[in-house]
Amino acid sequence: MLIVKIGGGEKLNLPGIIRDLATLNEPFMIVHGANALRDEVAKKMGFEKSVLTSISGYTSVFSDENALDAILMAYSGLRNKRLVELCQQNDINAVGLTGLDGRIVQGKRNKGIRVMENGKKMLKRDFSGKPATVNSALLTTLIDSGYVPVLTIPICDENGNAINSENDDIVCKLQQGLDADTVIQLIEAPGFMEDINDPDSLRPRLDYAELEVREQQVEGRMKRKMHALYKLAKGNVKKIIICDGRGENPILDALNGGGTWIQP
Amino acid sequence: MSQCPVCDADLTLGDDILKGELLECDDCGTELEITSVDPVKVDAAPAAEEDWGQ
Repeated sequence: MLIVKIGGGEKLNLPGIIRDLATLNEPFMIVHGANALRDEVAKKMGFEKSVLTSISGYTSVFSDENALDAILMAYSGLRNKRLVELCQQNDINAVGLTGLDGRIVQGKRNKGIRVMENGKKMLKRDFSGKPATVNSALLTTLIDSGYVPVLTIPICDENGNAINSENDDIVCKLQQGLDADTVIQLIEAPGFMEDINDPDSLRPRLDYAELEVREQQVEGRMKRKMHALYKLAKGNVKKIIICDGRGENPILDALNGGGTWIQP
Repeated sequence: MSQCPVCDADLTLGDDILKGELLECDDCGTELEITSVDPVKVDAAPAAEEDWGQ
């Protein structure tokens, strides 16, 4: 079982990714982002994206009702259905879903972002949270019946509200729930880079122990990405492949040894 | 006068308090949240392992 996480950058070769997936003989599901599209949609709607930096220094998108509307339009609407359309054109019988549908991803709402504002310490509550459980039974029913789930945010909170969540955390829960042995993450870079400005600094292999060390060395959003990767690696996944989603054959490149392979 | 919901100590609040503002009880040290300004309501702030969102 394979989980393919498609990032939300605008340069990813979505037709190439889906074309490659159509050649696979093993069951898989797709989890996708749409952050660039979300920003574009929000701008067109006149919503300004608000990014908050917490007191401890982590950045977060403030997910108010407007932001959630933009997520519903960009992630659950446009990107999800265009991906399903691409799948259908390539004879992959895809079913587009969000974590809300069938409570596929049930989460817990965050208790607020702690920020400093005009000298005051404030708690900013928004519609965001972390995934807690996945509806493996529903996903397995679909996959065993020959369908390919194409999943995105929002997820469902304790009270049935739609909430924003990190796809990295969702993938972690899905891997555990479906016992997937391989996770491919497609991004707008050749893989894990020692120096993002140096194209020759790709690390072709990383082991799980190094992930923990790396988490301590990086900052900001990357710190959270490394934390999520480490959590994923601590499960029973056999390999995580971070690969360039911009090439001609992103999936085949990944499975043939490209990008960064993270293994025990 | 508002009281700390945890230890009942009197709280001295300024005129410029805002909904969502966090403060600390001088007596018991509990982190408190202003959940309403009119009328003033104070609750213990939720404990969180992480102080950020998504």
